[in-house]
Amino acid sequence: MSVEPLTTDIIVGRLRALDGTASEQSSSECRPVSGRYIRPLADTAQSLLDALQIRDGIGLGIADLDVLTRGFRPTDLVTITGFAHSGKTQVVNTMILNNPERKILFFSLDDPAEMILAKLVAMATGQSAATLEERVRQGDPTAAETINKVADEQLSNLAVVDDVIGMKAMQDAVAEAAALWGQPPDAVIIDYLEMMPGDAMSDDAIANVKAKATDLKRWAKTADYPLIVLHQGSRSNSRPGEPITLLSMGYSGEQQSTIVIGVRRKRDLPSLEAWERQHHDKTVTLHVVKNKRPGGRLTHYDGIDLHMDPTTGLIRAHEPSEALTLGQPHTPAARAYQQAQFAPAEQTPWGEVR
Amino acid sequence: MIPTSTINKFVDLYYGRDDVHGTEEGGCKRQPPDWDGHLDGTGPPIGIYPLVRREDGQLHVVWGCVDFDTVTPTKRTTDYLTERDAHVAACNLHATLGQMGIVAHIERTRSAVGRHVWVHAATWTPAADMRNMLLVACKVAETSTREVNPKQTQLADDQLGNYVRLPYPHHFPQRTIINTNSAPIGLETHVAYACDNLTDPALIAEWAARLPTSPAPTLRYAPPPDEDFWQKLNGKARMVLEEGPLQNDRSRALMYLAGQCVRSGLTGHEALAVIDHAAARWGKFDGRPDRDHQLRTIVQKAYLS
Repeated sequence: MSVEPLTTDIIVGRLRALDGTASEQSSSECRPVSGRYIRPLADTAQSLLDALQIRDGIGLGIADLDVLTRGFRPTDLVTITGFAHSGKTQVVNTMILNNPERKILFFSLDDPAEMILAKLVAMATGQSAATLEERVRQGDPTAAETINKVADEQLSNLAVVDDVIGMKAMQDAVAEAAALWGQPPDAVIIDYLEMMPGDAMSDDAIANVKAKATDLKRWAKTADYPLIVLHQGSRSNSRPGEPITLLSMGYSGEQQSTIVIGVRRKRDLPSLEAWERQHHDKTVTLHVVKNKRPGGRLTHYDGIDLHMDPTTGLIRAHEPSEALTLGQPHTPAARAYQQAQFAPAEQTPWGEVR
Repeated sequence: MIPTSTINKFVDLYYGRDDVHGTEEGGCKRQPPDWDGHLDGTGPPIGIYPLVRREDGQLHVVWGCVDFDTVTPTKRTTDYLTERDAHVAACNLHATLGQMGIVAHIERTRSAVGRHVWVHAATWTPAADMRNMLLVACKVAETSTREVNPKQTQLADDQLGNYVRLPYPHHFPQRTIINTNSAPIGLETHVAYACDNLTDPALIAEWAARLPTSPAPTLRYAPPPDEDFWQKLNGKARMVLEEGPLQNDRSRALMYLAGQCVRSGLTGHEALAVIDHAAARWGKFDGRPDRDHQLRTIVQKAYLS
């Protein structure tokens, strides 16, 4: 991360804030009293600012989630779980793109590095990986230039290891990256847990999720960076599209995690109406189902809907025009309007159709 | 020939322990520093130990210095990756101190790609005030705080603390005070300007008081409630634990102990409990907000090496 010069305004502002903090502490008796239910808005503002300016950790870059988790910090074991093809990798890819200045080491046991790069370039440029691939194949020089530019400029702090290696070798790779960068990584991502061979002590032991999660926890406890591990949901408890809970993770792993984030696609729910399915074709739903951070909060049972670009998989908050209101009206008037619009035509005794 | 008045001003600015000094190669020489030799080349470059115990029994300094290291082939622990980053960080700190009413001076350091930021007090200043004021400034400027001198605010009678190599060694003309455009400033100009702009200790104390008091470290690593746990350690580890660090080098002893934990077959968490116990026993990292980080780094280094 390169250091940028500070302007006098910024310095003066920070020095004033320092004074503000001091005077605020000395006059704490004047502050609104926090109760069991009431929380002063000033505290909320501070927690929002903390979440948006994560200094000693790394966030997803998705404010709705970062406000709850307050970012991932050294010694955290963060598990991102969900059914196959629910968007787990897209969540971490979005995090990578949202944190271009952070040193991230990505162990991709599932996809080769080239595919990871293709996905990230697609997300960064807004064009599908297939289109980009086609353009390169046709000898379009600008496509090759685009790939090189994104790799050099936006992803210069990302290192991808796509060998299928065990935990000891991963730790060696982290040390290698730290030596190369001159600092420990800001985050280490493992995609995904089930693909890791063996356990922490012996790379040739039989894969066992619980043992591997325990060993990962042991690693995370002494690490200078958060460990973010992707984890497949179990087929029995994490059916496609269904809300993620702590029971959704295959062969456990939830006890060891500091934070568990669930990922699902509502479009996969069998019970949806066609128009709802069409809308949810562009959504991904994230759940924070475990959060051991002091003051950390969870999402409600239904999770948080976010926009997922259908072409590139980039995840972001919904624009107001993209939010689903039909079927989920916010006000009694809207509900009445919807009922009127969708009520079946009915003939009155007087022959009128209403 | 350097005028005596310039040398005297230089000594006033960078004064510290007058019975010992640090060497260029790294190490302590139990001889008074040769100030003239440092400046005119008749002697080797010197480093000064800033902490001096005054009549009140407290440690005082007349200067503080923040060191920003840059990665070099021989140095892996570093604050910044490039000289440009180290220089921008130094300029940010310099500007922040300026806004705090404190005149600071940037030096191009031994590696030529690192920076020192010096602050000179008008009189003896409590070491804690100087350190805390610099930590406040670093916090505002968002710079590294890995090497904020004085590094200690308390010392045992037989301890010296850390020394800092001084600018303007005759044999290394690139190690001078520079301006924010990296242009070198001559010795006479620097000492004249610095002596005219010394910082009042009251102002240093005022800013030092703004350092948020860190809560005592809460994270401790308890060993397993297993009476045989300590028996898992090999003989060398138990000896270090019982006898304490050699030559009072606690950092080295902790690193050695962590290595012995690996050889004893302890898990990382168990090793952390041992290192935590030893650090608490030897007073290493006491009261430091990064205590937990330091302990984990030691264990991690041992397990990754």
